[in-house]
Amino acid sequence: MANDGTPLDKARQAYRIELPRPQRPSVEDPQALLHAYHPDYASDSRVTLKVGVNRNDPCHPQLAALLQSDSSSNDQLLANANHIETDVLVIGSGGAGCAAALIAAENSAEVLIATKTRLGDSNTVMAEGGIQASINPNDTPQAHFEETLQAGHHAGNKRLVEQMVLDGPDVIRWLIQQGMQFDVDQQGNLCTRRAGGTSADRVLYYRDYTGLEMMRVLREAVRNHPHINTADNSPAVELLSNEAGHCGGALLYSIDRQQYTVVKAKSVVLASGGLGRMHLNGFPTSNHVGATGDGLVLAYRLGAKLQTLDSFQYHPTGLAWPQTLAGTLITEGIRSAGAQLVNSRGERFIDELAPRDVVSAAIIRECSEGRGIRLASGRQGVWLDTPALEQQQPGMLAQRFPKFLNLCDKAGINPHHAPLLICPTLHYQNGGVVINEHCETTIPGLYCAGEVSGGIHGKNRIMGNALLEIISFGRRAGAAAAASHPLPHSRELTLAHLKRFRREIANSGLASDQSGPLLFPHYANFTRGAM
Amino acid sequence: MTNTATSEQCTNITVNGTGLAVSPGHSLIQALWKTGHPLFKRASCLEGVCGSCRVMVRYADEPEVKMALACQTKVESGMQVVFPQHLERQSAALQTHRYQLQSSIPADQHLHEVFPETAHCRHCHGCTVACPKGIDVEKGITLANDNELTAAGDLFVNCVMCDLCVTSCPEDIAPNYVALFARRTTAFNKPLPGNLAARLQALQRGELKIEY
Repeated sequence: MANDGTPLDKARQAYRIELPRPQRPSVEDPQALLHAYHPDYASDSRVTLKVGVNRNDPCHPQLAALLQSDSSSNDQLLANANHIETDVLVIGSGGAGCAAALIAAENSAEVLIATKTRLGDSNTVMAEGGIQASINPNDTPQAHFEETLQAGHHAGNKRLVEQMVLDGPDVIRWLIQQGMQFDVDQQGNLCTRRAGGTSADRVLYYRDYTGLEMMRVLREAVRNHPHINTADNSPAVELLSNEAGHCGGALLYSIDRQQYTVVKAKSVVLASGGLGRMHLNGFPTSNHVGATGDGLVLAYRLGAKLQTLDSFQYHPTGLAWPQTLAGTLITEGIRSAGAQLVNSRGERFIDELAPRDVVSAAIIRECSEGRGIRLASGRQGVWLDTPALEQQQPGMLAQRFPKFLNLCDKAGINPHHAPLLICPTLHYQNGGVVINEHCETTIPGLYCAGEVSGGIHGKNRIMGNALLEIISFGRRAGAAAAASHPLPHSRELTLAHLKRFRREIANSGLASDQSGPLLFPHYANFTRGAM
Repeated sequence: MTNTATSEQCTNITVNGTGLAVSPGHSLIQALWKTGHPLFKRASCLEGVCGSCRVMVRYADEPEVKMALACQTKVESGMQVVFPQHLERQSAALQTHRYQLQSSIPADQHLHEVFPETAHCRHCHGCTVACPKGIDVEKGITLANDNELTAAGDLFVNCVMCDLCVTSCPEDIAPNYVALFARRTTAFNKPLPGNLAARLQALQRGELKIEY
């Protein structure tokens, strides 16, 4: 086999720090590279949805199977459930959910946050790179706007992107007001670094703990708020509709009590995150255990329109070795600080700060053309050249990347002397539920914010725009949900939408033995208890 | 997770009092998953930053119990593991610790109003020993009692809010929450960074519109 790559041991012995390191002349067209090597562009990476409002739209086959799966909910379950009421129900407790809850409560709403695990357990807490906001004199929101759209292959909604980039500086101000710290320079200015696919230093950060710092602070702000209650270990398993077909609440399942609860709400904010734990195309993932695409399933059955269901982010630098840590994220911040990607021949092969989808495609190309480094399992990767970074900027890793050093420690690698083997890892869902500027979905009463929503990042997201999105849109969703005026006399909540959806599935001849939402990946050995 | 464990030797460990044979080389979480053990409530980020998988571990031939995060801990033969319940968020101590950040009271005075038991620290080191992230928790409490709030908060950069220090305190101090209060007030009371303030003013003047 010609494309086997170099075995890990041999590649380790051959590795040398080289400054400057030669780069293969780059003549390629990024589009051609993506078409040839990015998983989204493979011919088997999409099918056509057969039922629901997105019928005839393209969708990843694994996601399509889940969206068109059956539900475990039924009328009897609803009839036997406990009933509670609130003004605003927030589903999900990452950054978007907490921001929505805080702003809704500030606008005089009684808020309940329902979360599948514990308050704050989310992808937010793991975010490392930072948060984008155009604040430097040599940068403009206009550049942020254009580069967000450009990196997303112009598939993003311009109005939403405009709103998000203009929100940026005020989002940072609000976070500081909540008590969040950022790294500042000696003049007291916020430190910034550059994201791949952008022209200016625009990513603000706190070490490589930006998400942890953000989540610590937001979780504490939520905990302290007298008008926000939290239901831990209580995943939403169905949204509920009223007689007008509007969203009027949700059915929660308490893992602790093995009981169902109907939550009646004036409005619902869905902020349930992404789906990395579906391991699309067999990829490892950087996502937390609960990222199983639940929100998309619930919204779709209720009739909310989704978009861009065939586009996902494979982050270029997931740890490839050791196997037990495969998929764990290594922040783009390290490449932004100057670390290079190196193949088994000691060559650089791509601009490390090209957009993420292009860098990932280039890594996959190196591996499939025999210039990768091969593990015993057959998986391949390339080097992230941290020793050269440390030689050029001694102390950089310790000063800026404590989370990364903790990972290296756990992996038994000394990144000052040895490079890390990396390969792309499933990181982010680019599409999601269609929203407008007020985070309204196509179903009245249902609002969305964060990774579960679509339309901002187009077909590829840049570093730092996820943390900006969750706060920018989270706050807006909270305000809009608190101000929403439900129909008068809307009393009864039903599963009428589910009956319609099931009929459609039956008529389409799709026989599904799958049931959704997944709630947890299969290897976590979760089973829903009996009533 | 997709590893085949065909010819691997098993490692025997004890989890919550039950003996289990698990495959070596894995973290506690991965090893338990592979045995079919239901584990979803106490595992989330798997990167050591969410604090949900906190465990008490006693290794074979070692007398003392150590605190750790299960996703960061490799299985070792003869180890005994207990996943303690997360009860602290309902605990009486935390229920009373409610506050809103504000500039009208000096931060140190505010801290002692919200967390009066902080002054009762008996320097038993329990919290510091309990911290799976190696934070000198007790020193943080001492600094807070000396009204050195910024310094106290700075010690907790790596804190993942696993609450093990709360569990270990005989005086019902919630050290990680005290430190978080210190960190939040430090950020809250600083003047806005210059580059941010300038940009906010420019936006307010309507100078930076988006054209498309």
